[in-house]
Amino acid sequence: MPGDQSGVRVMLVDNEPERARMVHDALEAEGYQVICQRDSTRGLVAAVAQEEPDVVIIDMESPDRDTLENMAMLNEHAPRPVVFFASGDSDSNTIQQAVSAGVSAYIVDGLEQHRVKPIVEVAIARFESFQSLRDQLAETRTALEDRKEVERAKGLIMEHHNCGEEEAFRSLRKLAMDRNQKLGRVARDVIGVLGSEDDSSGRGEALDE
Amino acid sequence: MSNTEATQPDAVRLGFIPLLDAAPLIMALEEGFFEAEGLDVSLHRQPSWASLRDRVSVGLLEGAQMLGPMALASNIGLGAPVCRVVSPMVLSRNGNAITVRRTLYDQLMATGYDLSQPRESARALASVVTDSSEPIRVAAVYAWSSHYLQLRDWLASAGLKPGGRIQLVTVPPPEMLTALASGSVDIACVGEPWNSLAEYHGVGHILVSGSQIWQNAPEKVLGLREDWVRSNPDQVHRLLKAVIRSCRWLDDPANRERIFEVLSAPEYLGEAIQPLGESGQAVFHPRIHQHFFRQNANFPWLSQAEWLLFRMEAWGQREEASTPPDLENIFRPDLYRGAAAALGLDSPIMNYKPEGQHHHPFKVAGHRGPIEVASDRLINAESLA
Repeated sequence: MPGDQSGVRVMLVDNEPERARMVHDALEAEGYQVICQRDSTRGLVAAVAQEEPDVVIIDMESPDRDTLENMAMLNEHAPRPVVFFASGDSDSNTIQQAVSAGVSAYIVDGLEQHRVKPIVEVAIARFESFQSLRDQLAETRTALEDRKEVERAKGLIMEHHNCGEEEAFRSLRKLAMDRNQKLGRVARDVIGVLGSEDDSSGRGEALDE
Repeated sequence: MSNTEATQPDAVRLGFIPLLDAAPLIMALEEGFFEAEGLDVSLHRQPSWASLRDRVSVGLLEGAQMLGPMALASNIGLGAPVCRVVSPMVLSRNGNAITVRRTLYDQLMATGYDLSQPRESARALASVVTDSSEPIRVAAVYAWSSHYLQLRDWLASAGLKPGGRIQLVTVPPPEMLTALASGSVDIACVGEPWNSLAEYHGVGHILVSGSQIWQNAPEKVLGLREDWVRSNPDQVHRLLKAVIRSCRWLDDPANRERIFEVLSAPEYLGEAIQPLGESGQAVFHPRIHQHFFRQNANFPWLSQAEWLLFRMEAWGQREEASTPPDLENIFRPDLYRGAAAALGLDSPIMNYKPEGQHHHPFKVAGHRGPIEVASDRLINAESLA
């Protein structure tokens, strides 16, 4: 890829390996040199001094942000101090977006603002898509668990009321509608009541197999 | 709790860092002081001062527990874009200490100086530094903090400054114990509970308390976004009332057990502070004199804002050429007085007092008579004249 990003060194500090890989790949595809770094304090200070990155992208949840900022203060006369990204008003939108996404960025003196912004934007985009992937995963997991519990509740109702599967499901759904609760929640309640009766008779385990 | 629209509490998001002086906000929530004021406050633990500042700055938080110098730095735009913050009250006084590795402590003892005196202990360090072939590594936690400024004032009291044999390094508080134990740090200036924990685990010894450097100085302040303060005067008033009540509750020794029980919960300081709950331990270290309410501790003296700014300038944190911040719009004694009066508490008439001249508690004029203010001795007071 042509352009001025070649030779720009980005240090990425993120303990979330999957997300780090996403940001790394996206930046590298744009032609940046990317150095990945886990956040362990002494390692980070040494790595910044040694690698001399132009930009540091760091997860907002990392306690090492304070270390970086302290370092910037202490190394005032050092050749490549690290300072906080963007002081211009035009960048305030980017900053807001970055903070909401959990991205923080530091630049080394000398790199122009307009060259930093696209790097931060790539990081924001990847942090956001990582988050939505994670949300989706959590939703899927809940849905799966709900389904398992609905199945088990259905089994318990069938056994206790000596009815068929469809009827058991209908009474479960009616209960959910009457209570204005999710099916999974109602299923857990049913298991709580009927399942414990079965546990006491030593037969609870077998029901959902 | 009622569900009617009229009594719908106002939502306020506040950030905190897991330190003992987050207690005024945490206990205000847990003891129901916020709720009593009809406020729906949520507390958000922050991984670093930098993230806390940024979240306030972009409006994800209405305010937070802040370091005094940090509130000033935010308004000037030091180290980050300008964020207008108002400090209507002080949350805590004292709470820092300078803790040294055990082996260094033994060397300091051997010099024969009286280590209980802060200037003497600094001289002891100077003599150890002269004889040492290795540099002494001094750890600070955060740039815009009283810890850093106190550390510089203490070193300077014996003519010491960073560079050469004194090497300044940075370590986040949770890693300070490991750093002291492994010897990668010789001296740490950090807030509580980390000094107490270093002593408990036998990796360090408290050499000087912050109160021996700046006696009863404002440590943490309540920092609120200026635009939020401007458009929510009533919420601000109720918020201050709740936090002042919490501070008064915190200073009552009868509440120590409850304080420990709440602070050691995982969402606050967590199990790291478990040793402070053991018998014979105190949540608040007796040498550090951390307090929250007594002697008008919460009053935001403008003279103390001036003092903090003055020290930031002295240690090169602010270019003297830049326009001085409008301190009267940052520290807001007027807002404090309003909330204090609503609680039946008197407060000083004046916004300024001479700093560094009182070696004992003294009286100032209140609205209803004389009121007591804590002493304010400063390690370098004579060099200010």
